[in-house]
Amino acid sequence: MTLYLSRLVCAIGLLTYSSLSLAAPLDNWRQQAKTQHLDSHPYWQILLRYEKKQGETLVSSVEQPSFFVSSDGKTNAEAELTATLESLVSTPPVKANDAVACRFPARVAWLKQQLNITESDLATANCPAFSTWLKGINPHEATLVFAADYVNNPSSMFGHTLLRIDAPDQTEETRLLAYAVNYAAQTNTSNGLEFAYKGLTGGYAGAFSVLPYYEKVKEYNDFENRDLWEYQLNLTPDEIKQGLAHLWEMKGINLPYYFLSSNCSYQLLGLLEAARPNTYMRRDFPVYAIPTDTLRRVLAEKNILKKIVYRPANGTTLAFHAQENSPTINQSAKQLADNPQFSVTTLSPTEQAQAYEMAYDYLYYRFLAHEVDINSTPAKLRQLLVKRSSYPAAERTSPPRPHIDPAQSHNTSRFIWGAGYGQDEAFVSVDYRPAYHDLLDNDGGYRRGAAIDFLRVQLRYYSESQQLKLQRFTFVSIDSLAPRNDFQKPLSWAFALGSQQAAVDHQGSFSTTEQHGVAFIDGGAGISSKLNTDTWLCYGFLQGQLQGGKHLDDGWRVGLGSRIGCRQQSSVGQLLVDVQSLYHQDSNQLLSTVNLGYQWQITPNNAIRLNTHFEQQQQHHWQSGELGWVKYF
Amino acid sequence: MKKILAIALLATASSVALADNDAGCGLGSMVWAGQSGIAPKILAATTNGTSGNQTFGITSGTLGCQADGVIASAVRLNMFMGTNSERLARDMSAGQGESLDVLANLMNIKSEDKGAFFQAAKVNFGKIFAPENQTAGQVLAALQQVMAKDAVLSAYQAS
Repeated sequence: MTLYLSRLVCAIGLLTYSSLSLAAPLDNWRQQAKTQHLDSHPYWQILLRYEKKQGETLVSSVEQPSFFVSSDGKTNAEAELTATLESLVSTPPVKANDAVACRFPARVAWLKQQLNITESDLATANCPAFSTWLKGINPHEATLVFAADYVNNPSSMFGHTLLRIDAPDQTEETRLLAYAVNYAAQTNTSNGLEFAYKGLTGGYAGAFSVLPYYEKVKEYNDFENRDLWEYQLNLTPDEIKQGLAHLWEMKGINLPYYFLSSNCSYQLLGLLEAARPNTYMRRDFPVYAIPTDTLRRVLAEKNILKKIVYRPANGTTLAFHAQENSPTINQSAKQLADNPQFSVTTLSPTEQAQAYEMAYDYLYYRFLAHEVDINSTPAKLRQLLVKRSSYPAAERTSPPRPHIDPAQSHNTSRFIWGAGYGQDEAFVSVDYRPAYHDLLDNDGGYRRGAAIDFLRVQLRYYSESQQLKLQRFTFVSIDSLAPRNDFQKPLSWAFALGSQQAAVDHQGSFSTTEQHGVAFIDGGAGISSKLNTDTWLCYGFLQGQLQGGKHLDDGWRVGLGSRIGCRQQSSVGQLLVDVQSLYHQDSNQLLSTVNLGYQWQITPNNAIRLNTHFEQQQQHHWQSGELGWVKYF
Repeated sequence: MKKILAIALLATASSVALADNDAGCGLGSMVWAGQSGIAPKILAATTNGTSGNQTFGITSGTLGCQADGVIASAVRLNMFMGTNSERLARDMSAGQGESLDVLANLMNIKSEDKGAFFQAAKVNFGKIFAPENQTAGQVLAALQQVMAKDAVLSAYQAS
C-alpha cells in the first residue's frame, strides 16, 4: 500500500512537472519537426512502413492499431509523429513497458537524434522487457545467412535468408548460441497447393520471429539438408541495436506475406534499412525479391562484407564422405547401419572409426527422412556411437567450401539475343526470362542439377517470310536432377508447362515445312548420377507429354517414352545433351527430339550460347540452330 | 550447477511425459526423437520463408524458459541440450566438434580444460548415452556424474 501511494505521488509529481516545464520544448520540437519535414522523411516511412500508395499519400501496410500511437497513424504520418512527440513528455503509464518509448524504441531514438532531444527533457520510461531482451541478445555484429534450396523441393528452390545477431564474446566455435531473426508466413498448412496459392496471393500474414540460431541450423542443416552460407556484415553495434529496436516495434505485428515480392528476404532488407539510416534497398525490388538477388544487393553496400562461412548440410557431408571414403569403408558402413554388431575387423582401426561414423551419418539421414523404422533406429544410432567412442578422437573432415558462393552466382533475370536458322530459313531471336536458372546456365552458387524457369518468352523473327513467332513460352519449367550415390537414392523429376512451336501441318502430321503453336504439359521421373565425376551429371527419365492445339489431329496428342541426357560443367562453360523419344498415340509413331547446347562463360553474367535442335519422325526431320549472346542482370 | 543437476535428476525421476515441464526447459526433449509434429516433406514445403508456430519466440520454449525469443540465462545450457542432443552425441563419440565446443562454453569450461572435457565425454560415452538415458536431462545428469568423478572436471561441479 505504501509503495502504491508513493508511486501515485510520484506520478502526480511528474504530471505537474511535465505540464509546467515541458510544454515549451514540445512546441519547439513540433516546430522543428515541421521545418525539417520529418513526417515525410524516408526513415520515418521505413520505421512505420508507410509504403502503400493511397491516392496522393502513402499509408502504412500494417493494419494493427497497436502499431501506431495516433488513432490516425495508419494513414497520417504527421499525426503519428506529433502524437509520438507528445507521448514523450506526458506521464508514462504506471505499468512498466507500456510507455511509447518502451514500445517504439527505434522511432523515439531517431526523433531524439533528429531534434536534439536530451534525456532530461523526457518523461521517465520504465522498459525492463525491452532492456532485458536486448541484453539477452547482446548484439555486437550481424550476419546475413542464406539457406540454399532443398533437393527436390521447388517451393524452396529460390533459397531463404535470415539474419543472425552475434554477441561480442562469440567465436566461430560458439556461433550456434547467437540469435536468429527470421521472417516467415504464419501457417501450419500441410497442403502444398493451398500454400502455393495463398503464398502467391497474399493470403498469409507474415511476421518476424527471434530464436536461437541452433534451432535454425538444426532445421536447415539436419532436417532439410540445406547448406547455409553465413555472410558476416560490417554493421556497427549501434546500427544493429537500432535494427533490433525496430524489430521490437514489429513484435506481434503482421505484414501481408507474398512469396514472390514481400517475402522473407524483402522484409530483412527493411530491417537492415532500419538499422542503417539512409540505406534504401527494397526500392530495387519493386516487383519480386529473389533471396540471392537481395543478398547481392546487401553486399553491394560499401565495405559491408567481413567474412563468409560455409556450413554444409548433413546430406552434403554424407555425399562428400561417400565419395571420399574407400569402397570397403562404405560397404562396411552400410552393413553397420543395418546391424551395429557387424564385424569390421578386416579394416584398420582408423577405418573402423570412419565406418562407424559413416554408418551413423547414413542411418541418421535415413531416420530423419523417415526411411527407417522410427522405433528401433534410435537404439541402433546409440550403439553405433558407443562403438565409435572406443577409438581415438579424430577431426571430422568436412566438405570444402564451393569456389563460387551464392552471392557470386549469375544474376537471375536473363536476356539472350541471337540469330540462327530454322529449316534453312534465317531468323533473329530474343529470349527473356525473369527467373531463375536452367541447365545451360553456369551452376556456380546454385545446386547442381536444380533448374527452374519462370515466365520465359522466346521470340523469333523469320526475315524471309517476315513472320514473328512465339517459339516457346514457358510458364514454369523444373528439372530436379538429384544425383544418387551409394547412400542417397533420391528420385529425379521434371515438369514443364507452356506453349511451343511443333513441327506439324494442318492435319497434325509431322511437317518439314511448317510449325504451329501447341500448349504442352511435360512430366517425367527417373534417376540421376554424377558417374563418379566432379563435372558430369547424367539422367534417365520415363517421360510423358500432353499437347493441345487446333492443328493437332484430335486437338490434342499424348506422347510417352524416355528422356535421357547429360550435363557437363567445366571451368569454361556448360554442355547439355538431351534426347527424348516419345511414342505418340495420334500417329502411332515415335517422335524423337535431340537438343544439344553449349554455353561459353565469358564473365559470370555474360556468355555465348549455341543451341541446336533436331526433331525426327520416320524419315522426316526438322532442325534448327542458333547462336546468342547471354546477358544476366 | 548443483541446482541444474538436481533439476536434471528430478526430471529423471519423473516420467518422460512429465519431464518436459517448466523445471525442465528443454531437458525433457527425447534424444533421437526425430522430427515430431510436422512430417519432413510437409515441413520442406512450408519452410521456405514459411513456418508454422514461429511467433516472436520459439517453438520448443515453455513458460519461463524464454521471453520474446530470448532464452533465460539460467536455462541456456538446458535449452541447448534439449535441441542438440543428437549433434552432441555425434561429437562426443568422436571427441571433438562444434556442438561439444558450445557445450563446454555453456558449462564455463576453461580453454585449458577443454581437452580433458572432450576426452572424458568420449571415454564415458557409453555411460552418458546409456540406453536408459532417454531425455536430454538424463543425458546431462549422466555427464555431470562423469565430470564429478574426473580429477580436473570435478572442480566445475561446484560452480
